Amino acid sequence: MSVAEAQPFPEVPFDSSKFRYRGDGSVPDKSQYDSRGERGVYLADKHLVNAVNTAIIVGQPLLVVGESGTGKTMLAWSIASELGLLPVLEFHTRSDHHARDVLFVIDNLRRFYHAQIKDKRADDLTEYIRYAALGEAIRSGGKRVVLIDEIDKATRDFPNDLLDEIDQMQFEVPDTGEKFKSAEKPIVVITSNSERQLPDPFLRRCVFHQIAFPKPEDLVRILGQRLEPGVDSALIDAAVAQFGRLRAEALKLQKKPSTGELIVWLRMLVHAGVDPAKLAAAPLAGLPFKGALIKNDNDLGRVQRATS
Amino acid sequence: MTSAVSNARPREASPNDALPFGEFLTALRARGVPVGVKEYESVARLLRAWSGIEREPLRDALAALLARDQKEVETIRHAFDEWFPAEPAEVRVRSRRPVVIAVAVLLLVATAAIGEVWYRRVAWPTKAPRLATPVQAVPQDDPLKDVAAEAAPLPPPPALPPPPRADDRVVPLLLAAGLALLLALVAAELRTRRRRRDWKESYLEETLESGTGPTRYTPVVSHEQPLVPEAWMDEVASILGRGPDDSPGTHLDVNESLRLTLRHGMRPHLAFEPPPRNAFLLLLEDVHWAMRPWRRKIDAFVAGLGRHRVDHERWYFDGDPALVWRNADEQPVPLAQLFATRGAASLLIVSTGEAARAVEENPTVQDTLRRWTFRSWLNPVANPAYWGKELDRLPVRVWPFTRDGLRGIAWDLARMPQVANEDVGDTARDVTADDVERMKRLIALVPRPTAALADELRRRYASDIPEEVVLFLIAEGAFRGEQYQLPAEELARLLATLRADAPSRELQIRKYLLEVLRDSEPERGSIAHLRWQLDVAMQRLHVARSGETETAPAIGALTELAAGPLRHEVQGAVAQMPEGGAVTVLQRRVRRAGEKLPATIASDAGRPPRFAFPGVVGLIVVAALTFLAWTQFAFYFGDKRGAEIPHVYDAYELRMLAPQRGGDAAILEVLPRRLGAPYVFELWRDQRSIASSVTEGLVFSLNVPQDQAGGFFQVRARLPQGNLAVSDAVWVPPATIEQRVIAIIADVLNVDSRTIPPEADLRRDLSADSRTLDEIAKKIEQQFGQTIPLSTLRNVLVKDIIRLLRERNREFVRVYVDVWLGDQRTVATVVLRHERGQVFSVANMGEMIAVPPGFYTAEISIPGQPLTRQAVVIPSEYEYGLVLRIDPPATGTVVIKVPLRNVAPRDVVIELPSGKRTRWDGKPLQLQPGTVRVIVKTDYFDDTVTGQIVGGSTTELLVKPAAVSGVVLIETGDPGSQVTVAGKYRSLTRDPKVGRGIWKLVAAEGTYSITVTHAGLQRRDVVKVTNGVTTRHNLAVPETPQPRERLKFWYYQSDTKVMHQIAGNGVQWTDEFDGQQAVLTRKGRTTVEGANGIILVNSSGLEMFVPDEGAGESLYIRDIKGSWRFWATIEQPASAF
Repeated sequence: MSVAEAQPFPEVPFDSSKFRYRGDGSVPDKSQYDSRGERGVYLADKHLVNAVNTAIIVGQPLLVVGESGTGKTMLAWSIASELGLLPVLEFHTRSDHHARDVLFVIDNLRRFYHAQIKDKRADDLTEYIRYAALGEAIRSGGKRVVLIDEIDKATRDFPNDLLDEIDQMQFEVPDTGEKFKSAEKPIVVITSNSERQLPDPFLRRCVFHQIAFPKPEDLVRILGQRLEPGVDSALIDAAVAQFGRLRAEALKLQKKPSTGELIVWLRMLVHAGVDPAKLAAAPLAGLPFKGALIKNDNDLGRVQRATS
Repeated sequence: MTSAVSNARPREASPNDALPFGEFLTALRARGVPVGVKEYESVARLLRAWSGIEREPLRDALAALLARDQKEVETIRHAFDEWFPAEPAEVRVRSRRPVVIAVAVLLLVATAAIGEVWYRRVAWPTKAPRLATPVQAVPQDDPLKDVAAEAAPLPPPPALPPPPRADDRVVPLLLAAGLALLLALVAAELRTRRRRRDWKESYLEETLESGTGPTRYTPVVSHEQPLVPEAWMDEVASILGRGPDDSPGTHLDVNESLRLTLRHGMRPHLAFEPPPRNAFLLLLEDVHWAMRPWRRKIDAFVAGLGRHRVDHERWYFDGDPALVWRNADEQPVPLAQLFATRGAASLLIVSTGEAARAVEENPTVQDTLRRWTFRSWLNPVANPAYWGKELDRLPVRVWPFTRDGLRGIAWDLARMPQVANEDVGDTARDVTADDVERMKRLIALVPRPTAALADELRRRYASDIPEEVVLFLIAEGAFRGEQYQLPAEELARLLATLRADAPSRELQIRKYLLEVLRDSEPERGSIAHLRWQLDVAMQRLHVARSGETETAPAIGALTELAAGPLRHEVQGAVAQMPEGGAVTVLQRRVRRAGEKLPATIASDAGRPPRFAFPGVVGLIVVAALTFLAWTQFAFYFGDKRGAEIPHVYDAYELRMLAPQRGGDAAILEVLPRRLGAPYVFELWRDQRSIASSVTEGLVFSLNVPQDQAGGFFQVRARLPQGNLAVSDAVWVPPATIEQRVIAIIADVLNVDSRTIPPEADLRRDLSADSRTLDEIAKKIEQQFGQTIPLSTLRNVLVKDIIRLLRERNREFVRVYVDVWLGDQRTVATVVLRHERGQVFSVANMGEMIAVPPGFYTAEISIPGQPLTRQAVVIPSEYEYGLVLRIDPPATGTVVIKVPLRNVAPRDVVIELPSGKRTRWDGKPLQLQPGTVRVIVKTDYFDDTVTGQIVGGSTTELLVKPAAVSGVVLIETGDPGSQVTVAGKYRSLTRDPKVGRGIWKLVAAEGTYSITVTHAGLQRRDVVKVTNGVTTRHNLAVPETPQPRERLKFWYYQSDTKVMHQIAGNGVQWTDEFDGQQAVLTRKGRTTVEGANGIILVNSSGLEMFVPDEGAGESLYIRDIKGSWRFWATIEQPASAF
């Protein structure tokens, strides 16, 4: 069976080779991303690179799942920076969000207020329309990267309601009758912490990828980039080792500490001047600033019992 | 197939689509991954836009695209690995070339370093000095000094073993380097070929992939008989039409209305389409892959319904009717939802049974089905024997696709199920193994056996085979996707069997296939068209092999296709043909065409690589082979073939000292001479080691007993490099009789042997008594085997005893030499040269000399005879007579003696016995026997001596005659002078040298009167002649000195005046008056004739003499005939020049 036997399908509306993602942290123009700091530097494994390129090619959203702190959100910025696109259009999902909020929001309250005070601006509805991430991407007409973060926080219908807009790349503002359509599909990155099972139809329209939790050596590398320069590498190694013990399956923590918590913990260790040797030899119960890592009473009890 | 059906059909279900990864996606669905139409489209979109063809990214991409969670990701990746096993990754040389070069250099350097280290293990020699002669002569007393023999030179010293040789590094290195270069070139060539082949493969693959138009074609099959008989459909439609009332239709028939309006003079008429003849029929078709073989039949059935205006709506489901859809682009809906909208319709499910299992497991679906009042199930498998058991448990009646079955379905759907007769007895027979085999044979003939074409072949050529045979083929795995695929081996077997059993049938089928292919020609210029050409050419070749047509066109077409992107398919197709005849030629041509580069290469495709460096593996192999070869070369070509490691000759000093004891021949002392000479050495006598010792800076001494004397002694020690450190070879002479006798005496008398002189008397000087003398005699007898009486011992000196023993021991031989020349005993001097160089000489006839026995060369010198050498042997006798016989030579010697002062050898003429005369060179002559005459003739005397030559003898011829005349040389001073002698004389001649005017008079002793005339003047004188004496007299005529003149004259030659000038007296003038006699005449004066007037003009020139003419006078010359005139003017006196 050969790839060349593919039957003609509708043309892909962009040159995929132009948007080939490498995941090596290379940034064409780094000055554009100074506002995001380290988010421009992202090293992706080959599976993730292939998943991103697949999403770009087929024009489907990329659903990225994984534990907190595995770099799901940074992925969108990495894509945008490597492909030389404009800054990422972010949408951070809340539980009260509906699908339309990803496109636009009408500030009716403010308009009502203006109407009450006889402000003439109330006559113009467009003054009160704020286009959200996906809506802005469609309106702009160019290639954009849209991040819909933590979609599992939203209502159950939220994902399914998004499908048509993502498929068709068009939407209408009913109140004004304005229609927007984009020739180019945005690169949509949807993240999920797997707190809730997403509906199957939505999943079938997404390119799926699960980011595994970083290995210890990757953690050391990440910490080296995220922490201030000059942190003792021995301290980082000891902290990562203890962090790995806490995340061990045998401990069965309900809430395993994530990378972000590890960074906070390490900053506290640095600030307190903890000796790396003592940290490495310390039992789990004796770890300083455990509260930065363990956020649950039950988990704290498990740690104490495991130690005793 | 109607257009409506085509539009409604999901794309994956279209028989004309060969979707990529279709089977793989089907397999994924079997593993629980929900792959639907949407996923197919996504995969196709991915593949179309996918810029790379690497396996891993595609694997990840498919997993990311199709999976809904991580578990499915793993499932898809695992399935992908099973379906598409990983192949070894190709090494990208272009990007790794610097690395390859670095690795190659590293390998070569490492190899060289290893070789260097390996060679350094061999101890290379340091430069050893060349030493002096290895032989040191040992002074010794000459045992034959009484006979004055020369000291015999020593025999050659024992040879040392040849010096070892160091290993040669250059030759192995050069050989290894050459081999490395050769291997590298071979590796580069192989890699270049592979790269070119890969490039060609890639280029052709790219050509294949980038070709425009379709890549495959579908054979267009025209059915001989309809798939569903029209009578069946009429029957079904009739039954279905009985159900509803015959009410008018509600849909306007526009065309018919217009037609009627026009017919009625534009009076409006409305016509309505006839109403459907049946209750609304909801057709629910299973699109599971197991339904593919029956799809055409189902399509024909549905098309028949439409043709008979059976109102129906077609929906689809994939194995599980829980979710159904009407259009591929629409969302599937639950069956219950469909029931909500179409519950009033009659339901017809078309499925083979896959759906039955899903229905059985899903109570909801069962309930929904039960809620349909009028429902039925059509199984395309006509023979219920092949149905699954779960069909019996369905809440719906299942009917086979037979006439009775369709009739039963029609009654069910016409809402009169009670009429239906469940007895469907017209089922086909069961499938047998023979049916499967025959069906395979039919399939084997088809180049691209689609289900439609295979089924058409079955209907045409094997209609007795039940159509359920396809179930067996599916079970065997022969039906994949839309086509049958049989293993190559089975394909060959089937074709061979078919050709053997029914060749005419094969030909008939292939002709039909050619007709099908003719109707199936795809778009020209597309890849599909190339494949179509391949199939046509193959079928034509098969037909041509039967002899009906020529094979050349088909072979040509296949050869041309083999050079293109379809080369593998062409080779595969040709390989399946039975070999022999044209096929063998074809296979060769196809293979060659496939090996060549494409005839035309697109300009943007680049060029095939001309050269490729060897890869890492190749370089590793080259380095390994080079190193292996290097070691082998070093062993076979470099082992001991290098520079010679010379022996160290002056490492030790071996000195021979006089023995301190009487019984020893000598004492040897060993001294290390060179620093570093080994302490451990061996002492060799000739070629045998006799002792080994260690000396550490001390002198090592060894007494050499007499029985070991008479040989070369040498110290040898082996150096680490294999060469030897040696001393000079010292000759220890054997003990002489004198030494042995003195040793016996000293031993018996118990005195130091060195105190016993040879002249000592035993009794007087050594105080030997009778007992000791007797003991001495006994020991002498023991050692020499000679008995010397005591009386002799009492009265002789020690040297007498020695001499006596010498004589008795044949230490020398008394030789009497006698020399015979021919048959005459002669006196000669004989020199005897011993083979060891001793020289003995004897001069007199019969003289005796004492010489050691042995081989001699006798040099015999006989007076008057040349030196003769003879080899003689003098045996070990007490006395020996040596007779030397010399054959006389064949020539005799002639010695000529001329004791005369004035006779030179050139004056002697020898008349040989042969009569020939020769001048004597002053040396003795070797002449053949005979008479020889020596003739001497000089101015003073003549003589002839005759002698007889005897072979081997010398003949002396003495020439000494008495003088007979003397010689007087008369100097006249002018060549023109004339001399006359009065009286008798032997001869008077003028010296031939012109101008000197010397005359020679030979005459007997006496006084002679001589007259000299010159220019008219005369002078007379008297000279005395003495025999044997030459005297000289100046008798020049005193006169006025003759001026020398220059004569300038001219003459006419053919009226041209020619100037000539001659000068000096008697000068010669040459001209071309060859043979002309001219008369020289003074102008205005008398003609000069005679000696002064006549000149000869000949080839040698003009000779004239003008004795007394002055300057300014003219001469003229005319020839005798008067026709020539020579004018001459005396220009000036000769004294002027």
